[in-house]
Amino acid sequence: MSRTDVLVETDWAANHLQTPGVVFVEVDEDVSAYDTGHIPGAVRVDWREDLQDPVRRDFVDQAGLEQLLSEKGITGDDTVVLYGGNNNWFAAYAYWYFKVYGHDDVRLLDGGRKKWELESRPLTTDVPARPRTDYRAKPARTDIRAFRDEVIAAIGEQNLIDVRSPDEFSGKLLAPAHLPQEQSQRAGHIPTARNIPWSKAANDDGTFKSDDELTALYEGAGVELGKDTIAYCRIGERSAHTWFVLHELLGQPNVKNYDGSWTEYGSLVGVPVEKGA
Amino acid sequence: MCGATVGGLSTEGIDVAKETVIHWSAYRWRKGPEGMCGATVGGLSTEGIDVAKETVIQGSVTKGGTPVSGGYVRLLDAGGDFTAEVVTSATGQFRFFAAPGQWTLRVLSPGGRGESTVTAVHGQVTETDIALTS
Repeated sequence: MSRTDVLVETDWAANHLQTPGVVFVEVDEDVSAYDTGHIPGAVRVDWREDLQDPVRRDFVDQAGLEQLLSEKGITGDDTVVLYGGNNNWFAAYAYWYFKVYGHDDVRLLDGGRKKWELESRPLTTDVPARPRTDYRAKPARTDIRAFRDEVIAAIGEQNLIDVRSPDEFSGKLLAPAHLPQEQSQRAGHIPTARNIPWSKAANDDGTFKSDDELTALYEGAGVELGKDTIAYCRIGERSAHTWFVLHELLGQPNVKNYDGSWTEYGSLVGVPVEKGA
Repeated sequence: MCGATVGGLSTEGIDVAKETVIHWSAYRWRKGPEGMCGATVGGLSTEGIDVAKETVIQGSVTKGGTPVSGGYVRLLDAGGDFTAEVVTSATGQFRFFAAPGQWTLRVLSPGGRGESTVTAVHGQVTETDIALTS
């Protein structure tokens, strides 16, 4: 797999806004960002309303995804280009999700919404009309998603990568610093996890670093690439970004995203928790 | 909303118990029409935030005295590591919930760059205004 199979540049995007079979999808943490202006032709997916089960804590099932993507006018043959704010956190989360349900050609816009804006490229408030399709998803893959029991079993056995900021890892903060800090779960990290913040994989403009820089980053932090790896953060979106780096850019075969992440693990009774750097 | 609040920023929906609501509110500042009419700089209202439980860093971004909206403000910890990033409101304002200690704020926008270093204290609001240079 090459980088261009999973990542597109802003120039490429600008030249493919009208291309049949290429669908731009904005997935933002701030779901109102789309309304204030989006890449021309892009449709919106709401990571919370569209991608989460409305009752229990899980994401929507295969039928739910089929219905969503059919409504958005997307087919299984389309090249789906995802982008969003926050350095593509939620776009990466949606990317992982498309892969869980077996979409073949999905890519991230390198740098996401930030790079597009910093380059003063056009945004529109026009919402495209795409005819409804009959999207068929594949059964959910489990080889790229980790659940809590596997995570506990992985302590001291597999690579555990905590991609939150150093202060969240050490237990000084419970959430990213643009969020209030009062939370129900305990602070700290999973024992034996290495703290490699997602942000170290990205440049200031939100683009991903080169493969060589990325390899040096993880190896330099003591990660044995090639070994089974689980990435986690607070709710699974930043770790989807790191999952993308390890699995899609560096081609590591056995990497899972633990989307339960710290909000689940830090609330479990009786599991080991470590504090400090 | 115009003129109703100092700084003109609505804090509707800010509730420390409901983080995503706050989250969305924080982003709604970016280009939303409400509460954005005045070009007042600084003085972001903390109404609805339990400041005693938080370590707030907030302020505004300007260029040549004019508020810069849509700027990317990045919060870096004492070791220079990325901690969070927000987009400035239509009135150029931003806010972080940090921890006590020294922090660097770095701004990236099509109009230029800027940086500021602050020392945040628990239970207090630390204000910082950042002027961009091209």
